[in-house]
Amino acid sequence: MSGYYLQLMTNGIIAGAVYALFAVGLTLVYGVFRFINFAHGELIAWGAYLTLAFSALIPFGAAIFPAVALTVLIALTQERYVYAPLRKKTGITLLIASIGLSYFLRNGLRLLWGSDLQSFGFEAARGLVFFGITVSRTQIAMFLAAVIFLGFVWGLLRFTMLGKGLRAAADSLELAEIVGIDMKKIRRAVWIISAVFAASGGILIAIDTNLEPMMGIANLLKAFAAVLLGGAGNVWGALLGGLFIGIAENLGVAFFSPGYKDAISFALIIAILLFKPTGIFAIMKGMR
Amino acid sequence: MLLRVEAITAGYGGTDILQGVGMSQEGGTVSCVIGPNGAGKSTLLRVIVGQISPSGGRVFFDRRDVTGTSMLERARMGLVFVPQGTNIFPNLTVLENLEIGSSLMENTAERDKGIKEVLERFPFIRVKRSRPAGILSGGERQILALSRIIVLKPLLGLLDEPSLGLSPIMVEMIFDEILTMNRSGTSMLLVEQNARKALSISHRGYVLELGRNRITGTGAELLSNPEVKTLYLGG
Repeated sequence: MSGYYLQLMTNGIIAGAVYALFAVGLTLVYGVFRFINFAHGELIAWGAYLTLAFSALIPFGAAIFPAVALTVLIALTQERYVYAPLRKKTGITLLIASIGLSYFLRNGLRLLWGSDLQSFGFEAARGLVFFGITVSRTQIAMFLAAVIFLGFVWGLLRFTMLGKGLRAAADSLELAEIVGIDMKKIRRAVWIISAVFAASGGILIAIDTNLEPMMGIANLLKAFAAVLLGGAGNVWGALLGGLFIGIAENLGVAFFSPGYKDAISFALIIAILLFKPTGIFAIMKGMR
Repeated sequence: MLLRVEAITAGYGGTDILQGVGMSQEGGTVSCVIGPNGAGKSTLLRVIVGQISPSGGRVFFDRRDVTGTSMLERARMGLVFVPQGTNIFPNLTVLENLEIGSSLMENTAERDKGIKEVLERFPFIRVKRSRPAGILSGGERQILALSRIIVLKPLLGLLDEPSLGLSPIMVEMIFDEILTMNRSGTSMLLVEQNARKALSISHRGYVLELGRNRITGTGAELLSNPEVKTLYLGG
């Protein structure tokens, strides 16, 4: 019986690692721009769909690269033509603009690829068994990608001037400008990181399950819960929050029907906002 | 003339706080701006560094008209601003604060030399260099913020209320530091509520009132001016 829970736990950690990727991107954007980018979920979906499109032309492994690059381009275009012109307005303006963008991008997916479920068409490979726990190759790839990307962010924030500038901007935007940090560079870096993480995570999730236009919003919800758990703007908090959400919803499968998976994230969001709006995992100072 | 400010009109959201203020500063000197709350002292500093753009008037720095230029450009020309309130990054370590604070400097060898100088000069900075700057006391934060000037060695340092809320010992230390920085070649322009202290180290002082120049003179002149005495030096 304990093997069953261990299996659920493992599934949870792997799912959580990918949620952490989404959440770190979302929280970085919040830290520097001070708004929750509701269009973040669409970067997840577009990364996956673009990979689907390119994989019709070139081998799958190669299709990932132009797909991620184009997703980055979408993020930079959003910044340039929507968010940057609105920056001087209040935070709520940016929030509403991002909700609008998310509808626009989501319906763009429907227009180009339709609303039906699609898949990359991989055969379900037999999983590998470690100590009685079954793990698929995709799950291993998900976990490794998350560890590599998050390790990269850690190194960036800790050791590079760009990363230190990013943390400084998250501390005080006004002072960052006064001391002469090149904010253009910081803003671009944040969008690139968040888009690469979103697209890569989206591709991995699509390999594991399938593609549908709503996949972005479903995962945004998890990322949002993770960001709240970690304290908005806190990178390490978001990471832990992502892991927690993944584990919670997978362990929940033991008690509720899997159909209620998403309800766990919702319930967590409500509970955090009610009792600890500054976040539960904000113990380590990541950015703020 | 290092800095010349001509007939500045400026404010926030349509209301002008400054109404035609002028001032100037020679290279190598210390100046101060004093006056009651709401006189527009901080606004004047913000106009000089380029954080807000004036609706009228001009700012000249180092023989150039910098009125329309960005804050970053002015910082690169050697204008360093230490604002009031949040002037350090609390979640960055003390050392990271020094690095980020001097990131304008392209010559990293020079920068590292400057940072080393700061670490040697202030033992508390050396001891706490790997701790988040948020744990520092008010006075220590102010020293850390001022250290940017020691590292960058700019032409002009602008300090907004450097002694605000500090203990008398700390105030002495801050003013000593301002003089030391000035001796090593940086001109200083400070806005201060501690008018007596500020005037006593200033070559020139400006009294602002309700957004206009009220009295101008050398530090010594203002210290003995009866009007300044009764209004700002407590009789």
